[in-house]
Amino acid sequence: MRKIGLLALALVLALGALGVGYAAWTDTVTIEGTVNTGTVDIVVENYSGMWMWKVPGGNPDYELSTDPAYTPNPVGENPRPFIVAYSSAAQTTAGATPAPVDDSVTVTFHNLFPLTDAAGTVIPWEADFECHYVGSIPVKVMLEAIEIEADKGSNFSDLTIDISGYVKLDGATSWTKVTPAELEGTQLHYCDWVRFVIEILVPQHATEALNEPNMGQNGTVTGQIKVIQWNEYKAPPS
Amino acid sequence: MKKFGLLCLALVLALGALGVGYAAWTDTVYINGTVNTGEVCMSLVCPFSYLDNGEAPDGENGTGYLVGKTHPSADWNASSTGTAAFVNNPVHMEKNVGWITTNCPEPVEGQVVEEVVITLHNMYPCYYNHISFGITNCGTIPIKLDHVTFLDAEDVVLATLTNDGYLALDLSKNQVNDVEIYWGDNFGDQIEPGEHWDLSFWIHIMQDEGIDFTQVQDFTFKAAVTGVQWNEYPLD
Repeated sequence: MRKIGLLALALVLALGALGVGYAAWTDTVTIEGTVNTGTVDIVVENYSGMWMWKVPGGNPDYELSTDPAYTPNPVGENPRPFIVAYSSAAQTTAGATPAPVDDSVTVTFHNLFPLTDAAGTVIPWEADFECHYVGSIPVKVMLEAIEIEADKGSNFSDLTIDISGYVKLDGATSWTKVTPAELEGTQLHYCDWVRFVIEILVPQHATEALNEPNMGQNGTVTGQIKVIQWNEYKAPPS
Repeated sequence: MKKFGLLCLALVLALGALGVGYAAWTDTVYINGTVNTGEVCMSLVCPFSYLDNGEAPDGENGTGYLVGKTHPSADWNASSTGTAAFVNNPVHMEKNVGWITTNCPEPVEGQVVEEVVITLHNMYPCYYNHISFGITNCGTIPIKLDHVTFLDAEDVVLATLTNDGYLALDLSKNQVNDVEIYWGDNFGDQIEPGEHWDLSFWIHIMQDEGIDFTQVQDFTFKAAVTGVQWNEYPLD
């Protein structure tokens, strides 16, 4: 009889303990979320350059155009205008050497000679292309080396090549010119535009002897323009 | 044990540095292309031609001095002097006394001839000739004839013409002119690559009565024809 009493007491205590457990109130905070990574993405969208037209019978009988679609009208009965020299940029086409990769630009500088503006100052030939920054992470521009390498048998005496540019911030209606020094490290945000201008200056010397080494020469242009997330940008050593 | 710890620390630092490099996201625009420069090139076109066709009066292919007025080697004389010498008709003489030669090379495809020496032989006052020649644009850029510079044997500039016109030269350097020239044509005219100008000038040997003038002398002058890329004509 005593054993039965102990068993009943144990049962009561066990149930009691169980009752405490059931009696505890609870609440839960649930964490849900999404993770997406940003992008660094600059896209080349527009291409342009300079075209030197010969306009027979015109006064003056030449025109310098930056519009690839422009063709001067013939003057009277004279022969039709034709292009003498040009510098231009275009999207690299399949089959090109080296093989095109993402965002490849081919620049062509053809039949160059010293070019002067209305004031007689020598100006560079330009091939340019516009890049749209469509990444979500701010970036800064890093200008990798751009250079001319003469073909075998050629030797550019003192031609120079450089990159300048223009920037148009998202929402702006006009371009702002920036020097090569300013272009390096320029920050771009989503939807900003930057126009890179590859410039080759053919110098005009006072004597034929100095000019002739630059004539009839052939070579290749290579270069890279990189954008890097803004917080990792390191300015090149000055 | 301490060394092992330092090694671990160095490894961590190295990986950390590597991690910074890998952490930067970038995008690159690749630029490739070609560049070639044009060429301003002029080449004299041989042979030259003359009013007095250039045969010597004697020698291997000579014709003799007395050839008659209708003979192509018969000399021409100016009928006056100064600019009038080139306005009034010259006179065709009966004799072949003076003549002209050049060192024009045999034409070769693609050859650029930058200099031709014209020699006037056995000259005398009144001798008159018309010398014509061609210049080809052997470059890739249209060019215009800008100016002609006349120099002496030491390359001292005697005169420069930028338009058709007359000039007199004192080649004997005795303060009296001994040669006069009229350059005829083509200043400012344009030639496309592969095309050519026809150029010419008249020359008249004058009566030099200056100090120490002697009859047997060699006179040398150079005429340097300068063309310029068409869009820069005229040169300053």
